[in-house]
Amino acid sequence: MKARPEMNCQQTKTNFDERLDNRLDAAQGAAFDAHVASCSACATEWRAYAGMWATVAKQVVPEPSVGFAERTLRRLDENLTEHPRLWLAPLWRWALAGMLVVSLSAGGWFGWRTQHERKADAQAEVYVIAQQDRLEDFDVIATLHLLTSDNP
Amino acid sequence: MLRARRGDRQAFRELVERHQRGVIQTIYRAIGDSWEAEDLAQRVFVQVWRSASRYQPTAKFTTWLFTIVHNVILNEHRRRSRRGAESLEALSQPDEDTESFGTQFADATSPDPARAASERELQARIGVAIRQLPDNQRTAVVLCRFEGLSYEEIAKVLRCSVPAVKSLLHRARETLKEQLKGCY
Repeated sequence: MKARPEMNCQQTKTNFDERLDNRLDAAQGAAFDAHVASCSACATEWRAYAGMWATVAKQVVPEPSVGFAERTLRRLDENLTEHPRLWLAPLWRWALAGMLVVSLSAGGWFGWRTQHERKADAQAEVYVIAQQDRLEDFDVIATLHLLTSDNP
Repeated sequence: MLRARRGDRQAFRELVERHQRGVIQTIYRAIGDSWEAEDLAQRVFVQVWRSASRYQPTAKFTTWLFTIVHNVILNEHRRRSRRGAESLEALSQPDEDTESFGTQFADATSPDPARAASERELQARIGVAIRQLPDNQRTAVVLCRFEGLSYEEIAKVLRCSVPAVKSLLHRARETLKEQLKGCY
């Protein structure tokens, strides 16, 4: 005698959608129904789930408006005019991508170089100021020295 | 699709007419705005025409079509999240035009107006809860429950395995259960 397949609560819940759409084979369907008949928790959940989709099935959803297909074809024409198919040719795309990469690299290099030069200029400026300060200090010392040598 | 691929506009028009309903309603369930859903559906079909040369006849057309639909919805969600909280709020609100249409429809068919009203309210809540699901969970739920795609087809659309689809649906159910406490 062939053993009848059984389902536990977890397996039953996993098969809710299959049962709803009659996607279970005869043996699985029988096991599902047997479990639901013997388990009140699964039975409650199954009734609520099936009931929810039955309610949604009665909902009115919009139908396509009159002339939808014509409008779609018109939009298609507009779209093709706006974006000629030539634009989609792989050669153009590759050429454009190449130009973009080259210009980005050039821009990046130029930007880095400019920044580098600016940094060098700033360093030179600091050096010149420091040298000027030293010379000024030297002048002050020299003047003081002269003063002290004039009045021994 | 093969005729449309060769540039046959009449064939493409037939293709649009055959699939417009499924595409618009799938987008509507993810976006919640009927005008926006039509606009995005047009984008989907334009994309279909443009990508026709890449379509492999070995793949089922609906799987390929819903892959494009899924990508368009993802882009729209990204665009809306970039635009900020205002749009995200709008995303979770039911579409007034459709709601009022639904109201008239339900009132005309239901013998009990109070019951019809509470059913509409519940439908709206479920709709919002579905829209708020994570992207892949929402697509799996919409394609499974409303478009009747098989798990294998959903797996192809989402580029994942069949067990992963089952896991997505299971997680979506848990999220919906949490979101709809009291009515589910």
